Amino acid sequence: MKMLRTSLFLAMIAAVLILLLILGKGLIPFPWEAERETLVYTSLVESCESSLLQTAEYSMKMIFPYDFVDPEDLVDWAYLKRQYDYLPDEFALRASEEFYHDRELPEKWKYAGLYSLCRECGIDPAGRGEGFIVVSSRTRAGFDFSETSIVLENPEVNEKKMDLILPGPEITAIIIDDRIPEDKGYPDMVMTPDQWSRFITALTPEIGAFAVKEGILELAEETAGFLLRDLFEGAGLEIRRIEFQYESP
Amino acid sequence: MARKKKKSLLPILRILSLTALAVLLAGAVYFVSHRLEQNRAELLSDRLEQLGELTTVTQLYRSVFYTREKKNFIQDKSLLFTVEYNVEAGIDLSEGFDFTLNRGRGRLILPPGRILLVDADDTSFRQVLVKERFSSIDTGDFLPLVAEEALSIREEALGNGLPREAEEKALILMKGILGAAGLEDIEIEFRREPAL
Repeated sequence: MKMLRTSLFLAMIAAVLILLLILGKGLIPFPWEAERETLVYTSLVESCESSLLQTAEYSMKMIFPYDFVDPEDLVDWAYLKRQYDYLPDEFALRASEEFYHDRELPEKWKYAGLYSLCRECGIDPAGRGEGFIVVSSRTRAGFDFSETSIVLENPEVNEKKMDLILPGPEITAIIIDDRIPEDKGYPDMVMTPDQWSRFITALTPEIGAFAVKEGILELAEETAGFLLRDLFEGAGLEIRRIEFQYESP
Repeated sequence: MARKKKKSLLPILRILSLTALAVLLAGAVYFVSHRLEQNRAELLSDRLEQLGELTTVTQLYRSVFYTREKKNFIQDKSLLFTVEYNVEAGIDLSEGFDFTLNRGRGRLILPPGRILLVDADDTSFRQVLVKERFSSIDTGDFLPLVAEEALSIREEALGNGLPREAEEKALILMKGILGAAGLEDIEIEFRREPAL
């Protein structure tokens, strides 16, 4: 009897040890253990030729929403908050220029669209004002550089002097930079991929406008001038004049 | 004999500790707000730069991501979404090029073909499925994954010989443009970097 008890006791200890070993090795996860699973499937959808010469880039970091407010403007966030909370259906209407006879937003509603976007991103500037999103972006400008888009005019036959007519530079890409190590200290925002996409879509025209205001198109013209003079003059041609032709709006 | 009443220190201690707490709290608020202002000031850096990238091939990749995070018995979240990536390849003219003429024959040496850009189009995010149980999806759940995948796509594009393809297209493009300027007899080469 004593022998049987001892055997049973040893068998139990062995079973417990085996169980602990299995759990410890992670062969069977603890039910309370944290788990993370990620799967990615990527495929090439499209490949095409291009002839884009990009000659200027404007990099900037923006702090949403504060960089989207003119420094001279004093925004009444509390007023917008009240309207947003108590008249949610009317808010979108009143935030649109179409709502007004003169197609002009009243001063108090100037930043209603921005406020609405903030709230969708989980930020309330009417609160303690501590919520913000840092967006690093690069805006590029350039033009189509191909036989069909550029014109080389030789006004004096047999002379190696040319006039170059190029399409006017335009914004070719707005790149939202991926998260970089120095951004790690900033808090993650409670947003889904759809919300993030809508947020970036709303922000993109503003980023482009900032770059144009800072002179990206002028720099694109200037750099294109340097590059093409270098190229053609190396080939023994003298570029007399470079003209950029912008499409009329 | 009347007993001398002992004066208690407790109220003074209470006042002192409350004052210390208030000072600490005010200090913390000042520190946090000052730090935020400092961060904002550091961030407002703009840069306008010259570029000379001639893109000759563009590719579009689409990725499907599935991620599930179970924090414990209760908190669980999963996400299925798609993203499109723009890949651009071509030559960077700002790396320098040489054009020489010898007895009417031109020789143009261009920089080697490169992958110029791999970028997730942030406006193309489409979520297919979102499940949140006592937990919310935040940008930290998907933006790092998207950034990581861009590196894999670059590797894949390199493996598929995209830089060479970009060089072939650049060669046709440059010959066409220089031909339009009346320069027919041109030899175009790509600079090769010495292997390390």
